[in-house]
Order: sequence, then C-alpha cells, then structure tokens
Amino acid sequence: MVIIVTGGTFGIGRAISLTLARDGHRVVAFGLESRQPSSVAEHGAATLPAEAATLGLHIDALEADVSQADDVRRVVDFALATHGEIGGLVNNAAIGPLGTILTTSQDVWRRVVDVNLKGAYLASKAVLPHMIARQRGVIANVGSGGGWGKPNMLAYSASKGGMFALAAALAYDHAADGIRVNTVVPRPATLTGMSLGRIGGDMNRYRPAPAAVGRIGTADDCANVVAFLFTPGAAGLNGAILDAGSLPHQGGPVPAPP
Amino acid sequence: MHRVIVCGEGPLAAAIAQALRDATLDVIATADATGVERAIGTVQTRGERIDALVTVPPNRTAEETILATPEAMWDDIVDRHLTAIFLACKAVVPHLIAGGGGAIVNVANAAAYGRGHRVAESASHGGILAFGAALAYDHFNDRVRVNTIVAGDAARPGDIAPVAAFLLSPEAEVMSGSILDVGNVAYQGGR
Repeated sequence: MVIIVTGGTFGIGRAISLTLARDGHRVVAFGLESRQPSSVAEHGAATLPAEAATLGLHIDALEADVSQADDVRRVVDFALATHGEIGGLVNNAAIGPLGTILTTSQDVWRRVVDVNLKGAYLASKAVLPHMIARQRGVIANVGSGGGWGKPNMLAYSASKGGMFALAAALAYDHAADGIRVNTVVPRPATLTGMSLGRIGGDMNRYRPAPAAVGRIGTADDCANVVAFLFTPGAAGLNGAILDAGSLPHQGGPVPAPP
Repeated sequence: MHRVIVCGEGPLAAAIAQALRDATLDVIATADATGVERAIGTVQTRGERIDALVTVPPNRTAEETILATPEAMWDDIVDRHLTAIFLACKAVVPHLIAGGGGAIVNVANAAAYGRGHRVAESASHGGILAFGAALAYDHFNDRVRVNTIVAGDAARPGDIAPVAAFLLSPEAEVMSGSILDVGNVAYQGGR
C-alpha cells in the first residue's frame, strides 16, 4: 500500500514510517526541517531516507507544512506521480506547546489547531478522493491522552480531542466507500521531539512513563499499533480508538511500583 | 506468549481460538471458570504455565426492560455475563502473576453502551468495561495486561478474532486498560 505519513520524518512519525516500510508499504513521509514551537525535532526529511536505506528500505521524505493546503497537495501529487495511487494516510504531525488558558496566546492556539487538527483535515481531504475512487483506504490518526483533557495542555488537548471526533465523523461518512478511519493513542512522555522540547531539550528532566510490560514505552510501540491498522486483521476496526498508552484512556494515573 | 485459555462457547469463541492457533499459540478451550481452574491445574501438573486468558460472553437470551426483569432473571444474566468473567479472571490472575505477567482480553458486546430491552445485559457489559480497567490498574506492576474488546452490533466473529490475537501479540505489549471497539463506529454506539 502507498501510505503518506504527516510529520513522518521525526519522532513517533519516523518510527511509523520505518515500521510501515518494514511491513512492505511504500511510504511518503513529510514534515518541516526547522524547529517548530516547543519541539526539538529538525532535519528529519534530510536524514530519514538514509536511515531507511541502512535497513534495506526505501522511504521518500519531503519537506512540507501540513497546515498549508498547497504543501499537502504537493505531497499528494508527488505520491501519485511516484507510486500511482494512495491507499493510506497517517495523520501524525503535531506540535504540543504547554500552557493553561491564561498562558496560551492566540498565536500559539492558532498554530496548534492549524497543525494538529486542520492538518488532519487538509491531508484527509486531499487523499480521500483517491481512496474513494478505488473504494478502499485506511486512515490512521495519532491521537493523544490529551484528547481526553490534560492539565497545562489546553490548546494541545483541544486539538487532540478534535481529532477523535474528526476521525469518528470521517469513519461514519466514508464507511460505505470502504475507508476505515481509526485513532491510536501513544504512551504519554514517549521520547520524541515534542516531549523533549517540552522540557527544553534537557534529557536530565525527562521522566519516561513505564509500560504495562515493565519497560519504558518507545515510539516503536505506537508504530506497531498503527501498523496493525494497515493489516487485514484490522478490517473490523472503524471509528475506533486504540489506546497504546496503558491506562490514560480512563484518565487515571499509572500506579507507582510498590 | 505461548499458551492461552479461551473461556466461552459459540462461534465467536471458536473463531478466536482458531485465530490464536493460526498465530501459533497453544489454545485450551473452556466453557467457564471451573474449566479455567481445571486447565490451570492440568498445565501446572506438567510444570508448564498459562500466559493469557480470553473471555467470550454468552449469547443474548432474553428481551428485558426493567419492568420485564424479575430479580431472578437479573441475577441469572449478571451471573452469566459479568460474574462469570470475574471468576475466570480470578482463577487465572494469581497464576499469571506467579509466571511474571500475562495478558487478558475480555470481550464485551455493544450493550456495554446501553441498549434498549437489554437492561441486565447492558449493566453486565458496562460492568465488564469498568472491571477490565480496574483489573488493569491493580495488576499493572505485576505486568498483567488487561484489555477489553467491545463487539459492535454488526461485528462478525471474523472481525473480532484477529483483534483479540493482536492484543495478545508482542506488538500490543504496551496496551493495557484499553477498550477497543470492533465494528463500524461502535464507539459511539452507532451501527
């Protein structure tokens, strides 16, 4: 399957791109090369193809801004010109500046909503006609526990809650077109440009969250669950939320070890 | 992950057992918690262990608004749909902890979100969702993963079985306490 991964050049998106390529999919990843608000991610598109090549894989990586319709169209045109079709989309691109309503400026709010929520809208809108034409397609959103509302994550929470509802609405509207739309929620504090950026890039301040199997969760954990959505076994999943985060689904804290 | 008990009867339990066998797991099929206990005993006698449990609910048996639900009928439905899950999990959890961890998948049906003429069944299946989350919290540090599938009204056994297999797989080993809707947009209860 030909799959476009937004923000697929760094962090969780990069892990998703590599995992999907490993599973035999043709991946077109894109993102921005410069640092975005509250993130340390940069130069992902410049380095991803080489990393893929070391694993014997091929990934196309482009620089494009998911919040700009023209940029998204350019990526879609590239995928069609290169691979002749688009069968999948991963809406992963996101920025996550922290803040309450008192500390979130209108500019930050607008940028978060534009990237995280409008980006998913623009990318979905751009690929859907090509999926509808073939009467099949798979869209996977990377959500967040923030989508259920989290402290000091006002704009991010609003954008991610919106993604849940966007995915469900898309799932309703295009189920009859053979298109499935689901959302995967990664573990909190998965080590990424976003989580590291929130602590000023200081690894000493990084506090990873343990996973249920007694180890630290990684971006690959989320990527594995996303990859499942592109397998025949996931044919019965549409409009679902897959929580790869161990318990934040219910909003509760993970119990401390005894 | 090697040996799994599938607790339940009917086409869905059979489909899940087959999907797990296809994933090269050793499947022990049982009808109820007594069967789970017996299976654990047998496996322990051989010096081996159980790694996972999948519970499958019984089929719907009655139309029941609250007015048409005598107390005995309520007790019977809650016993078979909710308490049976509790007993099966209660039998296997100490064994999983002793083995260093494991995985449980409980399958509920869409009555978990409330369905008309299924009062006791709705209460039971809503209970399965909360029960699974509570179990996941309590045994997080024991490395016992507990996830719940909600089988949507239109979901077929063939839709559900591969998802159950995925939840037991290494690819899902960070998933616990989750509720996963299988079927078309069933999260909101839609059809």
